[in-house]
Amino acid sequence: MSFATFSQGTLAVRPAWRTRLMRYLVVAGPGLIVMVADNDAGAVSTYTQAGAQYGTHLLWVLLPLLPVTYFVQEMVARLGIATGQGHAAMIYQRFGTWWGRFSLFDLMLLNFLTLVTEFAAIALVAGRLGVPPALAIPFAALGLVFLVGTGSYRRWERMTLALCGLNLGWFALAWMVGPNWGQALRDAVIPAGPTGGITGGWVFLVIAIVGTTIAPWQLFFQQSCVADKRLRFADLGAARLDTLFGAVAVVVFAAAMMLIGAGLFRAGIHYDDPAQMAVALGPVIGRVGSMGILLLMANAALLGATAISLSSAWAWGEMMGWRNTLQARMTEAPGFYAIYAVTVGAAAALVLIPGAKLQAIIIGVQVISGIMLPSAIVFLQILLNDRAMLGERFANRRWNNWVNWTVIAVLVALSMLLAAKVLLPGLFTGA
Amino acid sequence: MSETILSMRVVHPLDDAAEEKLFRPEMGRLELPRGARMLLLLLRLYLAAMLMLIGAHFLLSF
Repeated sequence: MSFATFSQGTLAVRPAWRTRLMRYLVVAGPGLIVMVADNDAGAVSTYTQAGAQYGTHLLWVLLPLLPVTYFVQEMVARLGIATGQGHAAMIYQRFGTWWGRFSLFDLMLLNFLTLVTEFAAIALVAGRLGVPPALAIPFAALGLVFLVGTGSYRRWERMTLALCGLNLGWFALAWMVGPNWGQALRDAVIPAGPTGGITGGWVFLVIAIVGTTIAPWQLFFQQSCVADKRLRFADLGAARLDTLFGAVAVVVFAAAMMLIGAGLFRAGIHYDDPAQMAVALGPVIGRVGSMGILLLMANAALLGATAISLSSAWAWGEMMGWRNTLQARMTEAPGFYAIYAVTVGAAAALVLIPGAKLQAIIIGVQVISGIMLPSAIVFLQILLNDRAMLGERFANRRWNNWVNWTVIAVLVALSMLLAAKVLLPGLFTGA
Repeated sequence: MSETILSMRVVHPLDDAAEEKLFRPEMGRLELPRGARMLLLLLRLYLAAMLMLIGAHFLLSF
């Protein structure tokens, strides 16, 4: 059913719910993908570790992250729809060459290091599954190149959304661990410190959870993705809904991972890496459950890897003025696909080097991410206050700015704390 | 007097005609108000401070 009203010669037609649903379905994708891909291998490690060390006591940290991720990502979706440009292109064109190159260099470096951690996770999982990493890593790298190289944005989006859908398995695994639901619900809504008192380790984990949930590549990815999908002004509402569903997804999947980690907390089991955690949980969730955790970890790493590499390739292409769309075949956009393939291939090769300092790389990711995030968000905030270009419809409103400045201030403080904690470990005391 | 006509047929953005966006390349660099210029200066100082922190960390670790 649709509604039509006449008022002073103006015809307003309100689309029926089926039309609204269809509109949402054709627009949905960038918001969901960026958020679910954010729960990558590093995030799985952080959330499960939080559960294993503190049970469900840190679940409350996730709740405020829902509006924070939504507000930040909604801004890039809005900017992408209004301008039809990616984030790197906007920084380069509106702030000049220096800031443009600086942002690109930072993004490429951080993305590459993060990509290495994704492949390191794939190697860990492969090892636990009895597959030699020397076989699994090149296979994963080739799969990632195949995923984007079909010459169709829609094909890539469908395949990636299918991988996102596999994340529903985290709920089943959390259920199998058998959490205390009443306690979990209380801990999710009532903030509380750890039972043994607040320590440096606890503060670090809280900061890491926040840092894991919002990363610089997400800003670049979603804006470029929105531009590549050619979302129209009229799609803004559906794009916001897509971003909101994505924000809800990232938080509930994170909660499920924390509940799984909490299973180890209750059993008093300790572990060194998430792959080992999957095996350690064997007595609680069985062999199928352990296998499920390993496969979902590999899926998280693959999703993170494709999104991160794409954000690099889109940004580089925007800066160079190359054709950079998933709608093009490899021969039609060689530079764009070459950047994607080279970053994926180089990260995969680095992981295969015996004795590569992977731990140093993981720490490097945290530091650079902490340093870069405030600058990326500041550019976004300035761009969205350009009323001369965006007009009242797309520019930030006053309340928007207050919310965003608050988010930026908190993120800057946390990012600096995280960077300081990693660079100067003696700054914080306690385990 | 404006007239609004909303089509009941949903067209995928990639199948739709390209619409004119609000940004055009000839717009060039953003004219920044004083507040935004100050913010970018602060950002440079922050980045320089963080770089020095990293440099000091590496110097001390060797």
